[in-house]
Amino acid sequence: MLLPATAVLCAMLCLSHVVAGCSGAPGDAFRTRVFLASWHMGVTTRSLFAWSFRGTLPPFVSKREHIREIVRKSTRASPRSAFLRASNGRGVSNNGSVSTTETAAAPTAPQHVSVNRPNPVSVGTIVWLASELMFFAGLFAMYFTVRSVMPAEEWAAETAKLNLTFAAINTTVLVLSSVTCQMGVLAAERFQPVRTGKIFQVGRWGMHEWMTLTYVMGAIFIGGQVFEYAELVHEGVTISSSAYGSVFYLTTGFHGLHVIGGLIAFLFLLGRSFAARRFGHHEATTAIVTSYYWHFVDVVWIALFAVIYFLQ
Amino acid sequence: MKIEVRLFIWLTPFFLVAGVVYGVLTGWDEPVGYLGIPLVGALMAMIGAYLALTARRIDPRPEDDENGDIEQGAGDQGVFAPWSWWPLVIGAASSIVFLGLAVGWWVLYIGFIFSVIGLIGWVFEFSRGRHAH
Repeated sequence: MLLPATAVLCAMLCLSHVVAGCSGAPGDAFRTRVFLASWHMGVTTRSLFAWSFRGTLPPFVSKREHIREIVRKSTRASPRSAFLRASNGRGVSNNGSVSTTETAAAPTAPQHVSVNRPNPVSVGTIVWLASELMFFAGLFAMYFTVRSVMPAEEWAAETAKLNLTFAAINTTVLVLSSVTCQMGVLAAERFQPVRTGKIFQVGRWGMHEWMTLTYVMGAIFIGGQVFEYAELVHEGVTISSSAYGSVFYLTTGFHGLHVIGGLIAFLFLLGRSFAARRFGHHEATTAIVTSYYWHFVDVVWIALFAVIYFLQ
Repeated sequence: MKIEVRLFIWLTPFFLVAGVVYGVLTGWDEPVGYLGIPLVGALMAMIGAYLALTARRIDPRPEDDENGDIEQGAGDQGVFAPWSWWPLVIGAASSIVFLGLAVGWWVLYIGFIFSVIGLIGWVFEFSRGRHAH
């Protein structure tokens, strides 16, 4: 009976200090204060209670448990508000990814310096993309296996129907879309969702403009692929016409599905950004990992293009 | 992050060499092996290089320090959703999609509808309603 009561008392005491220490707008400063106040209060209340209830008190809850409790009570919402606050923190990283972070670095808190860790979303995306590489490795293996068992002149008769010029133009569009995507990421990293100038002042574009342009270029690529398929079907190359047709449509088709998946990801990215009143780490991280995926799909296409159209 | 980087980077040359050895032993007659094995090396290189780049950008972590203590790692570990129902919706929708592959196309379309709902709900979970920010 005594123990829950002390816990509640302790939490309320800390809460009052947090509220007193908070000057208003929830944000980073607030978060830091919550942290510092809870930590200091944790220390003082621990000694206070340890002294008052010598021998009757179990070990004090861990620091993190304690903080979680405070945050839960102070927001009066689910712990998810704390999640969102965390995703909106300050902390600009230079090139590359946005790192998770930084309650810390307040000079008055030498006991605790929060660690600047790799962003789990980015690392997870890279690991997943590595597995995607294996998926495409299977497709390449299939392509070369069929190529090695099919009679050479039969194979050459099929590859002669490919339209290299058209595919090269299409490839250029996709490669350039990776550049525009990266420009969008740079805008996201400076937390700039929209343009600051006129629509044609490209230098002042924000993430929305760059990512929309990327989306359009990706859509052009898909349109080009559909056009090319139509041409080839017209010339009699279908997925069931020959072994060459099968590997051609399977490799380029699975790549095309990945590009479509990327286009959907861009829509989700733009949707998240439109929905956010304040463009924060949540949105920037989405932009960065979407760009990872897009670059990956682009690189895979360059390899596919080189193999199918040049190496044949 | 030395350990993580080495764990992946050091396996890259191994797989490249293994791919060449495989190619020689099979007389370069079997593309699945001599393409697939070096690409496993590429997988290792991809993760390792990313971790190496990340390691240059962040401060040394307590776990990189030989004399580090557990409690030095306290504080933010990253941003995680505390709970969510949406993965369950997506999982159920995926089961319907795969059921569709086995039973009939019409089931597949129903599964797609649920997948779209689940996916949108999941992606926008922390962007709307109570969590709008």
